[in-house]
Order: sequence, then structure tokens, then C-alpha cells
Amino acid sequence: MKTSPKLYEQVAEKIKTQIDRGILGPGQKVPSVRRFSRQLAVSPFTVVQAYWVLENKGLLQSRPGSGFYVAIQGPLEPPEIQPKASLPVPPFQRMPFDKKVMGEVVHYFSDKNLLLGCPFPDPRSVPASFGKCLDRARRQLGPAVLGFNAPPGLKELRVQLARHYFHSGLDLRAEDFFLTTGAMEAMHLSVLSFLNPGDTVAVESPCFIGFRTLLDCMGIKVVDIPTDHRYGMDLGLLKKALGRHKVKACYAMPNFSNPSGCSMPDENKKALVEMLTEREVPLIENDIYGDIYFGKARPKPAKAFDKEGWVMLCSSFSKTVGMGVSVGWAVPGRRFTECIGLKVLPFTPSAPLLEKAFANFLALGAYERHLRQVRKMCEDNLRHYQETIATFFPQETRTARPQGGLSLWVELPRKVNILRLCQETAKLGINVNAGGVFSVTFDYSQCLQLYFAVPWDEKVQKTLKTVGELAKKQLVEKH
Amino acid sequence: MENALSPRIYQQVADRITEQIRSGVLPPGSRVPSLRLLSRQMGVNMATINRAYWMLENRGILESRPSSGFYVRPEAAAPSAPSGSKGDFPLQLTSPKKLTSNLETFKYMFSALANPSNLFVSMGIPGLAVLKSQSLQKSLRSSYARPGLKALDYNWFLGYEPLRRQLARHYLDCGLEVPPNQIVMTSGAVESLNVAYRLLMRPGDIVAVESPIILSTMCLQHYGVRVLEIPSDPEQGMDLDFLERALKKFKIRSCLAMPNFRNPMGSLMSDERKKRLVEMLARKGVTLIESDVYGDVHFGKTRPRPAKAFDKADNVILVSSFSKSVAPGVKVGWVLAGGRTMDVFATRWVNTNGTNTLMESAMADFMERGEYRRHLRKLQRHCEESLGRLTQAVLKHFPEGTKVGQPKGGVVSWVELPEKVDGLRLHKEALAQNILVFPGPSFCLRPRFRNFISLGFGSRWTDRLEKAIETLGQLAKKQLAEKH
Repeated sequence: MKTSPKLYEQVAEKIKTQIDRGILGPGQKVPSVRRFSRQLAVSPFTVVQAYWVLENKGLLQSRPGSGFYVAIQGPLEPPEIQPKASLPVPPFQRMPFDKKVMGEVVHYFSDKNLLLGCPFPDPRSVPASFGKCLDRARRQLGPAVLGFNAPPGLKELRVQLARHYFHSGLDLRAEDFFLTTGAMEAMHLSVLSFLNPGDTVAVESPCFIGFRTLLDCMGIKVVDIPTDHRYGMDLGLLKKALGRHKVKACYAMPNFSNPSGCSMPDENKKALVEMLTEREVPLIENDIYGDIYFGKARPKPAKAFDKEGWVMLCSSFSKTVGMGVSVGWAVPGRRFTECIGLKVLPFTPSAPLLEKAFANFLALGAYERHLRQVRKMCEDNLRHYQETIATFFPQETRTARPQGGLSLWVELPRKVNILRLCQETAKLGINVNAGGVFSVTFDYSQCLQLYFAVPWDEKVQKTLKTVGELAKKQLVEKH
Repeated sequence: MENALSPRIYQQVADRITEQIRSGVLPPGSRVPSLRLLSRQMGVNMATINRAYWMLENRGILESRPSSGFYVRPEAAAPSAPSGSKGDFPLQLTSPKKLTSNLETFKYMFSALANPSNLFVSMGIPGLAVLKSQSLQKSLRSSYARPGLKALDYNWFLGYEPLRRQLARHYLDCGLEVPPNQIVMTSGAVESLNVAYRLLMRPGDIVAVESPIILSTMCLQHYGVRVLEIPSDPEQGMDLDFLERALKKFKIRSCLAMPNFRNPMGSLMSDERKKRLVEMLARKGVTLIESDVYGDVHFGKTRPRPAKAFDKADNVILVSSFSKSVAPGVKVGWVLAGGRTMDVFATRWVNTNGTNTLMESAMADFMERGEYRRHLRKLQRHCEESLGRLTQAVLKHFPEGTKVGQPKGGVVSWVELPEKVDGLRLHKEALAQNILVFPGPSFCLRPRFRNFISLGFGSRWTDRLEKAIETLGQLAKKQLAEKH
């Protein structure tokens, strides 16, 4: 006797047909379980089973608290990084202070149309409550608003930051922090506190250009350690590099790295910190995107696994609130005295107004509320980006799947000349970052970096579509 | 033709009287010409003469006797200028490591600075009391008022554009034409300097700096450069002949100078000297890093021009900020680098990435409403008055033979005590009494300026300050008495 397919299989087949016919497009929501079960007159559990089957096949995606969606077409996989075994220990190198690279950076910045090359949240998304906190701070401070806070900066804010990190699973005291004019200054002072020209630093690759340029300006050599999209920095290779070169420090963004978007699992963070602690090599940890997570809980900074003070945590509010509010901080561990020394002489005090405003912002819980909105906005944006890329970019395009942050790493087919693409888009006032600038050791010339920081609208979609079409045009030409 | 340095008329009158006193034509206790007489004689307004006399009275040179007129004060001779760093100045390099050799001695000074119970009498920053803070607060409010929220605007390129336009206009009044897109904003004076250092300094380079040095020169230790000190005069600034010899002997890569009211001496270079400096360096391809933070705080009629105004070869990088002319909490600085604007931008980008838009937009508003000019006029008047009070107090309380510099702008004066007084000891003993004063040796890399101190006049003159000067004077006198 022929066994008829189970009921849930039939339901699954129904949905699959709809998807195949293109009635349900990538990224679209499928009918809710309740509605579909009523419609087909089957139990809700049957529908759920059907959706699970499709999810297992990779046709659907569930989004917690939202329902099931048609999975975005195309394999969303990380760019091909050569297998570990064949990778030699990277040689250290000095990245030339490349005027061309800087020229590109400058180009993005100078352009009014900052849509895709902009790593900062839209000023429109800043809550009114922050303005109120500013005004309150101004009134509280009175004439002292123009005085200065001597390093390490306003205690009130440092207490609030310690509390904020406590919620991320990191026990710190207010005395562990010093406040800066941004994460970049925090990293700069961290580097100055113990590195000298000629030293070597192991950095994750692809690496944030700002940090690389900083090292280069200081005459510091670099060993590129490749990252994997699921595990972040390749610890095996790092270990080899530590044995081979006289590495004085290590740089990583364990949470939602810029530009690759990858994160390290907690075990890897722990292993990384232990490996470095054993060798007494400081880790400069850039945790600037840690608060923009899409999962349930904030990922821990690597600093959370630091027992002996070898991790120097650097971060700021610029990615979550806006870049015009230049307040950042560092938790330099055992290098605290040296770092403070660099703030004290030359005497670079900080501005009281912003520090006070942020202390208010955090104390009132308004920062946490704001973060919730930022996370939601970024996650939505990312989904829209993924959909648009799947629809309008060349077929073999792959993207990373960041679980937070603001950066999307995209790999285009070999035949697309990325530099040319960037030039063409720049002419139209669209800024995208060519992957090639993020490393000298490894070839990311087929990659693009996009930021999904601006609120999604038709203009953004159109812009992204244009990039995809320009890439496609190149493919057609070649044939 | 009006020279940028030509003093106002009342200052000319005052100088004339001072000269007469110095040369003995008007001996102590003698009556000076009446207002009416002098005004008729010189063909100037009586109010002008009155202002000149009032200023001299302030400085302790004249005294008014009710219904009798002005007299030369019996005990006070006019202040004479302290000496600079001339004489047997060696043409010698200091290695990067040695740059901080005297640093350790003075690190504690900054904790002393943070202690509010200490009175800081060498302060190189104007006091907050001078600022009409209501007006700046209004600008601040405007920067985060909705709609607009300028404070959080995208601001990643050179800095807040309206402020750069205001600055360009401001510099035009100072005789310097600079397009707004050649101004790179930074987060303060120290960052401005650091950006210039980071851009130009390479390990092993030789850098010429004015002696006495300013404290931020010590940052050069991070760049691995060797430092060559160039002596300078409290009135004329850098010794250009010495610099010329140094240029012949060494391959100097860059030169740091502060031609307008240089801290700690308050010296001002004349336009001719600025021109000579710029041309001399341009011929050798040596970049001049010019700090112009005190340029706006001038007592003369017109603002002295920055050396950058004479820069035809695009060889001068000008750094400045609002911290010395408005308040340190503003944290807004800038760099003018001509053709090297992009490099400066890239360097700042690496240093701190973004800048403080909130304060930048507030300052743009402050300048736009003409409040900055008004503030400067007030600050100038106030500083000049404080300098008079300071001079008077020093002449009254300090040992005989003490010389007080009379800068024509800025907020710091250089004071030379009798040779037997140890400035460092004075500093230590004063700190025990909660007075923080910078001794001469903190401004140089080799043991020098032993009997010098720097005194600031940017704060409102108070009894507490007067008392502190008195205490300092007593401590100095005590040292002298011991030695005999």
C-alpha cells in the first residue's frame, strides 16, 4: 500500500511550491502559524512541523518573536579563506602609509552622500532624551561647563560604565576606567603606553584601517592573523606567529569585528586571553560594537576572561549614539598608570559637559532604551541589505552573517573588478569600501565592505541596487 | 602705515612716561605733568592720558594723590625686563630619552594642579570668571536644540563646516588668508600639536625648539627625535642668528615656535623677524610648526599676525585652539596645513577619529553672533589690568632686583629673581602653603633658569592672589636672608 505523505509534509510541499514559483520571495514573511492552520484546517502544530522541515532544508528562517521568513537565496557564506593547514605563518610587514588608501578614505568622508560607507548611526535616530540629558548636564554644571575634568575623567560616568559592563558579565570598578575623546584615542594611548617604533603587533585580518594606520604612523610592524567567519581570529596561526616573531601586542575585535563582522565564541576569547597572558603579551581589544548585538544577550568582551590585566579594553559611544559626541574610554589593566601618564602630560583634560550628559543618560536608563532601538534598527537594516544583495547582486555573491555590529562583508565573483566598481560607484556619489585596503598579507580584493548604519528607506535600497547592477554590468561585459 | 604691532596711543603715552622715569628725568616722588597739560602738549584726548596714568598707577609706577595729581611712586622703579636664555648657550642636541629627564621631578605638579585647595599662580589659561558664560551657554543650547541636533551631525571630515568658515574669516582679520577647506579641526591644542608631530617627526630627526620650552614639547619623547634648544629673548622671541648657525651645523627637520606671546615668557616676534624666520626655514626646507594659541589675547590695537601669514612656500603648519582664548573645557582646536591638509586630516583620523561636534557647533554660533570678538576685547582689557596688578604686587613684595616681564599679550609673565634665589626651592616651599608656581627649571632640558618663575595674569585679580604673591615674595626674601 502506498503510504501517502504525512500531513505536515503536504503542507511543507505547498509552501515550497509557492517559493519555487516566486510567489513568496526571499526575505518575505510566510503566513503566521495560526492563520495558515485555520486556512488549511489543520492543527497549528502540523504547520509548525512543516515550517521546521523547511527551516532544516534551509528554505525558511525563523526569527525569534517574529515568525518564519523565506530564507535569502544564495549561499550566505564567508569569503574563501585558504585552509589553515596550507597557511604559512604570515611574515610581519610594514604597511606603507598609503596615500591612496587615505585618499579613498578621505573621499568617502568628503562626500555628502554617505549612505553605504558610513559606520555611524544616523543623527536622526538619536533620541530626544539625549538632548535632555545634555541640557540637564549643562544646568547642573553651571559655569563649570567650560572647566575641565582632570584625567581619568568624571567619576560618575566611570561608575555608570562599570555598571553597564557588569550587565555584560564583566566586573570592573570605576577606578579601572579612564575617559578619552573616543575609542581611537583610547587605542592610541594604549599603543603609546608600551609600544615603540620597530615593535611587532599581531592583528586580526581583515583589520580596521584606523588601527593599522596608527601602527604604521608609529613605525610598528604588523603580522596579519586571518579570521574565520565563525570563530574570528585563527588562534592556531596566532600561536605559531607568537612563537615565530617577537610579537609585543595583539589587536582584535572579538565582538562583531570591523570590517569582517565575525565574532569569537566565548571559548575562543578565553583561549586567546590565556595564550596571551601566558606570554605576557597585551591584547588591545576594540569592543566598540559589543552593545549592538542581535542575539539574546550581549556577548562578553575578551576582557571578561582577563585575570591578570593583560587586556586593554577600548570603546566609545560613537557607534551607538553618534560620532559628534566624542566620549570614549579605556580599561588598560596593568598599563593603567602609563596610560594616565600620557593623559596627564601633556595635560589633556576632558570636556565636562559630554561626560556629565552621558552619566545622566546611563543613570536614567535612557542609554539602554536607546540601545534596544539601535539593535532593532540595525538588525532590520541588515535583513534588508541581505535581501537586496540576494536580489540585485550577481548570483555568486556571498555575504557574511554578522550577529551584530554595523558592518557587512560581501564577496563578489572573481570576474568583478572591485576597485573599478568602487570608482564607478564613487562617481555616482555612492561610497563603498574596497576589501583590498584591509590587509596587505591576504587578498581581499574580491570583497566589499558595507555599513548598515543608516535607517532603511527607498533611497538606500536604490543605492544598494545600483551597486549590484554595476557589478552585474561588469560580468556581462566580460562575456 | 599702521603696523600690526603699533601700540595704542595710551600705551605710547605710558611708554613715554616710563622711559622718563627710567632715565631719571622724573625721579621718585616727583609730580608728573597734569592731564590737561600733557593732553595739550601731545595733542591727544584727556581721556587717553587718563587711561595711561591709570595703567601706570595700576602697575605701581605712579600714584594719585587726591586733588593734587599723579606722582612717581617713591619706592617703585619701573619694572625692568628679565633676561632670556642668551649668553653661553650651547649648540647641543638632546636625545629623546633625556627629554623626560626633568619630567619625573615635575609629574607630581599635575596632581597638585588637580587639588582644588592649591592656588595655581602660573596658570597659562585665562580664568573662567572672565567669560560671560551665559552667552556661551546660549550657543551650547543651540547646538543640541531640536530640530537639527547639530551636535550629533555627521562630522567626520575636516570638522564642523560653519565653524571652519568662521575661523577662516577670523584669520582674514589677522592678515592670513586661509580657505575653510584647509582648516582641520581637532579636539584641542594638545591634539593639534600631536597631529603635527605625528605627521612630521621621524625617529632620529632633529627638531629645533625655543628655550625655555613649553611642557608639551616633552611629548616629543614619543617620536624618537633629538631636540635642539634655541635661546630666546623675553621681548623679541627666538634668537634668529643662533638658529641660522644651528641650521648650518645640523640637518634640522622641523622647528617649533610660538611667535605670538610665547609661554612662559610672553615674547612677541616682530613682523620682520617672523618673516625672516619663515624665509630662513623655507630655504632649508625645514617645516615650521607654529603654535598661535595666545595670538588672540593681545593688548595692542591690532592682532599680531601669525608667522603663517608670511608663508609663501607652504612651509608653515599653524596649530591653535580655543583653550587659551576661551576656556579649556571647549576642547576645540585646529590645524592649518595648506597643501598638507589631507595628511593632517589622515593623521588626526588616526589619533582620535572624530571631533567634538557639540562644542564645534557651539563655537560656530558663538563666533557668528560676534560674541567671540566681544569676549576677546573683554579678556584683553582684563588681562592687561591683571598684568598691572601682578607687576605692582611683585615689585612690592619680591626682593629688590626682581625683574618682571611686561608682555604685550598672552596670560603669562616671566619673572627673574635675584641670582641667589632658588626657583625650585621656592616652588617646593610655596606648594607647602598651597601655592603652585612653575619654577624656571621646569621649562628647560638642562639645568638653567634656576632663579626664574612664571606667573600668570589670566585670572581675575583677587586678594587671595595678592596674598599668594606676598607669600612668594616673603619666601624668596627668606632665602636671600639665609645666604648672608
